[in-house]
Amino acid sequence: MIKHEHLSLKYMRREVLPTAFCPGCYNGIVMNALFQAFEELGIYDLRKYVFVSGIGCSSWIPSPYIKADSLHTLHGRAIPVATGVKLANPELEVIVIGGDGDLASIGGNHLLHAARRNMDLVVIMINNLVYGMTRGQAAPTTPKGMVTPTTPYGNPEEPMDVARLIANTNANYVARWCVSQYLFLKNSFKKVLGEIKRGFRFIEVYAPCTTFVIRRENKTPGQKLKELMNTCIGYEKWEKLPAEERTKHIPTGVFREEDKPGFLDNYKQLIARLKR
Amino acid sequence: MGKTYVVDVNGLLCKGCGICSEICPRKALVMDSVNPATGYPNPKLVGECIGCKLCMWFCPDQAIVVVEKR
Ligand SMILES: Cc1ncc(C[n+]2csc(CCOP(=O)(O)OP(=O)(O)O)c2C)c(N)n1
Ligand code: SF4
Ligand code: SF4
Ligand code: SF4
Ligand SMILES: [Mg+2]
Repeated sequence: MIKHEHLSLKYMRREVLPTAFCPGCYNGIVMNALFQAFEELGIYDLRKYVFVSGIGCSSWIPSPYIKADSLHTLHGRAIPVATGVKLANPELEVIVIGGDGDLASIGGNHLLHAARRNMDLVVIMINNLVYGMTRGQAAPTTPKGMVTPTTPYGNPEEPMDVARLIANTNANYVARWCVSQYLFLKNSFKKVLGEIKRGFRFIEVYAPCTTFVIRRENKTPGQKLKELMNTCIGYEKWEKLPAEERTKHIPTGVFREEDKPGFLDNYKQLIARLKR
Repeated sequence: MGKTYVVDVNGLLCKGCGICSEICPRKALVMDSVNPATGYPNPKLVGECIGCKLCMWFCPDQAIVVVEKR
């Protein structure tokens, strides 16, 4: 009998599998949604795409796992390198994949300004609430009160809401989905790969680290996934909740969606004007 | 006639995380004995699969596939 294969595998480098991710790490689910989006758009050849990442577990997704050209750069510096790739060869579609630490902490300023410039990039940020690769230290996204190796008595700080922050810039597209909202996530990927093809497109995926967040809660990754199906709600619904209820839920949805000219369009226009 | 489905598991990719068996709405998957090749238990179909594909979408290691039987 012919063995059937997972659709993601045709986009992955088989020779390096299984991945180095912990058993039950949600990074692999984000990959499934991304590859399903490519497949549903009829995109099988990724030669037109370049994937750029920094440092962290999630930054391993492009290299070595995606069967496409990739640049594994310095911690926090994926966006500036991706900007360089895009400006050097605007024909390429440039996709950044990284963690909350990489993109919102050490790389936070790059993120903010690439969004302000409406730079022609797709940025996928996997928010696992911690610095997973270095064993789960608190990040700027760690919820208040959470115990981590660097916050042994509970995190005294308030986390930043990265998607809503970027939604207040000039970015063309901003969405956040929990990893449990698989079809919404996949459809957001389709939107920024197939429909809105310019400007800054930011997708945050709320996906707690299996080893350093979920295990601390004495839960299995399967239990947590089912829990997230109730925790994650649309932001319009979330906004109507009383304050004490809000902290128990994650507001998700599409915060911003436009198709205005991106950095490159505006730059080309400037050159045309100066040539006249 | 109701549709029937085949569930294939790639024992070399599976890391035994149990997500598929916990997410299955029919409780049709159970974690079987440890695969000696990897040291991880693999899921086994014991009940009726309704083809919802949740196990396939949520498998982080691309180890489980659901296809319609024809
Ligand atoms: C300049 C620099 N500072 C610190 C580190 C150590 N370091 C490696 S990964 C990482 C955090 C990664 O967190 P995140 O981006 O959220 O990725 P995750 O592993 O959680 O997916 C840190 C601080 C580094 N590699 N380089
Ligand atoms: S440490 Fe966390 S983010 Fe990193 S591979 Fe393990 S589960 Fe995934
Ligand atoms: S497709 Fe759905 S019903 Fe079938 S085994 Fe997977 S989760 Fe269970
Ligand atoms: S979800 Fe995938 S890796 Fe986890 S036990 Fe099931 S088949 Fe194995
Ligand atoms: Mg992280």
